[in-house]
Amino acid sequence: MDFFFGDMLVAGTVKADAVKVLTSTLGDTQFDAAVPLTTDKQFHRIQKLYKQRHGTVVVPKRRTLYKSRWGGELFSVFAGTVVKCTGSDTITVDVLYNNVSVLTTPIVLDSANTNFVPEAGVLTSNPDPFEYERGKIFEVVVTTSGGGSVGQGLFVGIRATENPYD
Amino acid sequence: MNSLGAGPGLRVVGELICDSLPIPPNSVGDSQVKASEPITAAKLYHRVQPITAQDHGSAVVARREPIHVAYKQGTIVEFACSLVVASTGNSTITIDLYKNGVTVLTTPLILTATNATAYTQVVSAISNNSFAADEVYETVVTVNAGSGTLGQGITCALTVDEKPS
Repeated sequence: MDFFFGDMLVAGTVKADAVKVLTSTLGDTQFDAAVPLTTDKQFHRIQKLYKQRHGTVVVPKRRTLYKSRWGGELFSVFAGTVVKCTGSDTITVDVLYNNVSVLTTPIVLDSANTNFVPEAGVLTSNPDPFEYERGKIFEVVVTTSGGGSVGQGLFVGIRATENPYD
Repeated sequence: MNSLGAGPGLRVVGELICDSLPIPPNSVGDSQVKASEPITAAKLYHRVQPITAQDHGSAVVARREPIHVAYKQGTIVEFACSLVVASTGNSTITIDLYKNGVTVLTTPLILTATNATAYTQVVSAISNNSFAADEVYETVVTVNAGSGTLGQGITCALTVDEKPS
């Protein structure tokens, strides 16, 4: 390899069979808005939310929350209410991946929770990290215990990062 | 064009400033991008995957509902449907995908007991995959129970790539 010591100013074009772009040298300003980066060249942050209405108590439900487009890594599951349960009433939330729970134990929302504050679920350690395959189904399973003091405005979310080559 | 250096490489120990520097294809990856200056949304295509779903626990019912409203122009990447409980016998569930009220599928997707086992997606062929900003997509589900049992928990996922502007 030849070395050139000192700064080099070229009044013209520099061409090379290969250009080594140093780590962390490019930022947003180097990217051309007219040629946006295509989706197959990006990791994708996924956030999906299941919710029930504010104004009526949460009801039991099992429904698909997300179907994966690519393979990815699930890194967060959370649930909360905008009006928490009172007394001994509870809401139990599980998230299933192809019919198997992704949590060590389901999330239980009760009177000890705080309105609008989500409670994080603990992901099972098998697999760890929780990697998933494309075309698979994530479901939310909601059950309740009690009666008129069950909370309202349930929200259940998952967050993941998907790899366009998985 | 002037030539400088005939060897296998040239290293400038300093700053290189030039009027133009064509970067060969596939030279830039994640590691070249500064985390402190991430690429803004206006310079990225965006992949969006909305779904429509029905409850697990009761048979699929006929339903027509919106699944996506385009923010910007783009293309459909995939439209696929799954059941969490498969149909049995000769029961069928038919799904169409409309854009502004007109189908965009080559033929509607038909889920049967044999082609749609539980948690297995069935992918549809698309006849018109382009869309403009503000166009509205709907899923249209119809059912034929026949003498079998209709499946449960249908999930339809529309995957699209949208331009940033």
